[in-house]
Amino acid sequence: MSVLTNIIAGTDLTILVYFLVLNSFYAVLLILSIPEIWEQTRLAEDEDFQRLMQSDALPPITILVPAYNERATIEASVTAILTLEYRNYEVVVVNDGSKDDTLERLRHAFDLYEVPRIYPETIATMPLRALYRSRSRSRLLVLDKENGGKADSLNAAINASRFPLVIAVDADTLIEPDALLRLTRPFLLGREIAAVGGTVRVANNCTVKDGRVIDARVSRKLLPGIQVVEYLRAFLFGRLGWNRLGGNLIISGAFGLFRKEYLMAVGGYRTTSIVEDLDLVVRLHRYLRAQKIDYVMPFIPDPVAWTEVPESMKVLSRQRERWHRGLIAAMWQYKSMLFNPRYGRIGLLAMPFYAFGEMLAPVVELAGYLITAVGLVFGMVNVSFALLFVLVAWGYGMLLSIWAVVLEEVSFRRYRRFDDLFRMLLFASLENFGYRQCTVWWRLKAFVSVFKGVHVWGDMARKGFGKPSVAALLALCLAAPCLGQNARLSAWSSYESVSGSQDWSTLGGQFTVTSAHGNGGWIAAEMLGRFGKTDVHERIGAVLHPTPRLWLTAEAGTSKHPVFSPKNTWELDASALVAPRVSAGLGYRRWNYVVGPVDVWMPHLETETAKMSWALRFSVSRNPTHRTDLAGSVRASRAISHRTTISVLGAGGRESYFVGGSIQSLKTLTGVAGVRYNAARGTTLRLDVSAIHSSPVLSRGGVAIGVERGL
Amino acid sequence: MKAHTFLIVVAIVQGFLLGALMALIVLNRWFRLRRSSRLNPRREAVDASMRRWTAGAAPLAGVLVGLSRLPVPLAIDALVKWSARVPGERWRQLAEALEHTWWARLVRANSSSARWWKRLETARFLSVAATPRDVARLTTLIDDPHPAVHVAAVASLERMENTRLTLAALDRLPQLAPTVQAYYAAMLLRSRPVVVEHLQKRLRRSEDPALPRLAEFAARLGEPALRERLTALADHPDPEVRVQSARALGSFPHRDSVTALKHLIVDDAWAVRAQAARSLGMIADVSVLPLVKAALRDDVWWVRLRAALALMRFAAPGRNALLEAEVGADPSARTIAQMVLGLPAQALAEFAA
Repeated sequence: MSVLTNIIAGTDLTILVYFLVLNSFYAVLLILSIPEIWEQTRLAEDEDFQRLMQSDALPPITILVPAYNERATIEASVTAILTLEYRNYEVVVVNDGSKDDTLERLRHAFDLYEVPRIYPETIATMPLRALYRSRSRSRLLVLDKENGGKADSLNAAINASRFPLVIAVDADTLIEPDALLRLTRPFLLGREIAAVGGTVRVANNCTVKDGRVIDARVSRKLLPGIQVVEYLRAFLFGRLGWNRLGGNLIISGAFGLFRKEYLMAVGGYRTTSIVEDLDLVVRLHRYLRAQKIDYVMPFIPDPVAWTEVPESMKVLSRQRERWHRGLIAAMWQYKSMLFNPRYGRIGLLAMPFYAFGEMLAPVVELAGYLITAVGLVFGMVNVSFALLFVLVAWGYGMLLSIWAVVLEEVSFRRYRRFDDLFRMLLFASLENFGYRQCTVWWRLKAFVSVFKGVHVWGDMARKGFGKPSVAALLALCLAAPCLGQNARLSAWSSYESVSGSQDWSTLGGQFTVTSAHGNGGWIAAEMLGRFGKTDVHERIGAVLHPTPRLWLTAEAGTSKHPVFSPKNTWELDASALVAPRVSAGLGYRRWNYVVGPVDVWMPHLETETAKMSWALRFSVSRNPTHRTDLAGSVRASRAISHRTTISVLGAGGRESYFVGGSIQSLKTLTGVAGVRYNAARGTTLRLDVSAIHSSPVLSRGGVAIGVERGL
Repeated sequence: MKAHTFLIVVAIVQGFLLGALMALIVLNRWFRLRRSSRLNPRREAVDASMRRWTAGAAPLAGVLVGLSRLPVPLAIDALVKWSARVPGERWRQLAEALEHTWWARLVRANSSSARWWKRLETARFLSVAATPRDVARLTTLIDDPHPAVHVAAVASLERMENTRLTLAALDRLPQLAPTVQAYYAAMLLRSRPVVVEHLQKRLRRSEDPALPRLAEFAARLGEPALRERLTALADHPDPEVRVQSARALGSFPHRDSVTALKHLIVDDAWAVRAQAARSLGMIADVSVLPLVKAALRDDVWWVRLRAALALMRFAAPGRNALLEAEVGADPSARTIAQMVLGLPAQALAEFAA
């Protein structure tokens, strides 16, 4: 118990320090964003300056538009881009091997004709099929190339661009007519600009005409509405604050202007990166710092591009998971920049903030929730203190969101109506209740994806969540019990004859460590033979016995070749002594098969008399076909001597089985009889005989033996 | 207990701040609405009086009264807006009259303010309403460290022809980033005689670190009086200066220019060779055709491209040279000739620009 108290107290302190440091940093960003937005607003509203910006002095720009299967929007998007208010620019559209008629639509809409290639391939890309110019729009160049992804398309467009500044624009992003003009303001201010970022806003619910947002509205729906506030917070408050700290690490890929010579120097966009804009900006910082080139990468808030954000949880979760995976990948890839004084503020401030403040934030937040919950269960945390802490944490989040709304209101006020304003305030308040926890979960999933090796690690690719997670869980489970351990080794084997199928066999082993207080942990591995195939299932589990009346059990498992077995399994159980010699509990099990999960809830009751013990267990399972099955079992055990115990189990009901590539609901009737013999020196032997009638398939009968040895 | 109290205090402060922010949002909206409803009629009154005064239907006093009733930034906005519409002589009357108004005196006094936005206000005002007595102020503002301020101040060159101001801007030009340089250059073009005279002196200083930028500006001017100096720079040890010289000489179809370009097309620096090829194409003197043809076999792709494009400007002889190269032995020359011969007229025009 004292170990648990120490763990909770230590974690609490760590989280508290993390919370204070991170939020103090946010406060610094918040304060710094005030003079920054004030200056930017003054410059943006300066009509004189606007006039100057329309002079011939402005640098020519190439707009890069990658397009893949964009038949529905390509004509409108390109037309809108071709009518931007800027004196000297060209548009390079890249048809990235679209499977639909994107190229044909471009050809007809803009009267394209083929021309020879007139530039060297500075950055290697997928092969170019053809190059087209337009008879009706002299600014337009269209590249047709084999499919290579967005980054590859952008690289091809960079190769083809003629002008010193390039801006990448998504085909589905709507750029405001004067946005390019505004985006070049830092160049007129004369600083050594490597890249400039503009604001991306949410277009959902806005009125769009001819590819232009003519009436900005805040969506009435919860998800896009909250994202309006989220985007405001990210752009107006976060990035403006970073301007003053000299370390903007993200220039949005949907709307960012880059100096081409630097892009070429770093080899363009990396085709293997998940979030290409973050990766590119970090590489640019690394290159420019290494070359000791004076530069700035400012964010300016008044140039605006509008984009559609996800309206469904499914799409949003995928997007956020991908973004976070990209962040983890970038932080891992460029870890040498972390705390490296060679990279100045980027190495000492921006990278640590993104690594610890952004990347690890969901892990710390989850740990906070779990520790608080565990602490509350065991009475180790002061309830009023915990609630107050949560209130302060959420209140701070709300304060930051409302601050972003304030910045918008005192500066650009794109949302003119009062009802939009109130909706923004409402969503800023609601964001912390549910939405924020969802984003934490999605971002945590990114860590799981990373451990699974989903398109992140390159040469370090890892397969399955087995090794690293097992190692971590092992350390976690065994840390406490090892202090006062009892260790046991057990092994078992079984053979079953199955009607209408190959026989089933099992060979398994387990290592268990238990402390004097009843806390323990185990690792187990089973080799399974089913349907003529073999798989290995690994499990790791822990039991906590925090009070004399309570047991908490958790187990996680993973399969090597999940053809017939679940990819992974999770099991939790809480049992309590509810009366003398009577315990009750509830278990939950999730088996994730390739076709979907099977969730099982298992209430159970155990009681014992002087010689007999009884266990009653039910299982309510829900499978991917949305069928709910119910089964129950009773086990009776009796000691027939001081070394020997016999047991009988009877069970019946419907259970979910993975048979023939799908989850099926089988009607089963089970009978098991067994004997357990405690031999000398802590060795136990067991033998079980079973018969299972299963309808319509998988009736079987068999025998199982086991041996257990205390160390 | 202490931590508990601390959290309570934080929670109370947060609650107070949240309330304050909400109030700020609502008050901001209310204030803006009230302000615009109060100021819009005044702005319209200024526009109306300006219109009448421009047409000679009303005295200047009405405009001055209207401007003084507006907040200073709005009054400056109105002046900037109307400065492009009112004829020069009438506008000078207004500028003279504004010297005596209290708010314009206040704006002028801010030219040495420690706050950049105050100096910006002065620069914007003076860019449209400066009088000869403001030259000293404007010179200071052109040297201002804040880019917005000096960019606004240099716009005064549009209205004021003053040697001191022009030279101040010209001295500042080499220190600026390329985009701002281009803007300054556009402003300085209006005072061409003063600029040319000054450049003739500056281009003689071969050790001047600002020489590449000044040569670039001189090339942009295309002024025959500078040809001699630019030709002399073709022998400068700094390749950046030679690039600017090569670029500039294309605008002067003169025997000396051709002689200098003949040297530059075999320069060690590829950027110089590329510019020289381009300029020889602009002059299109048939005597240099073999040199440009030889550049088709240059090691650097850009030089070959510039040479091939230059040959297209030599009309029939150039085109024939490209056709020869297209079937010639040199693979690099063959590729570039094929590519350029396949370019449509529009693409050729774009490259020539």
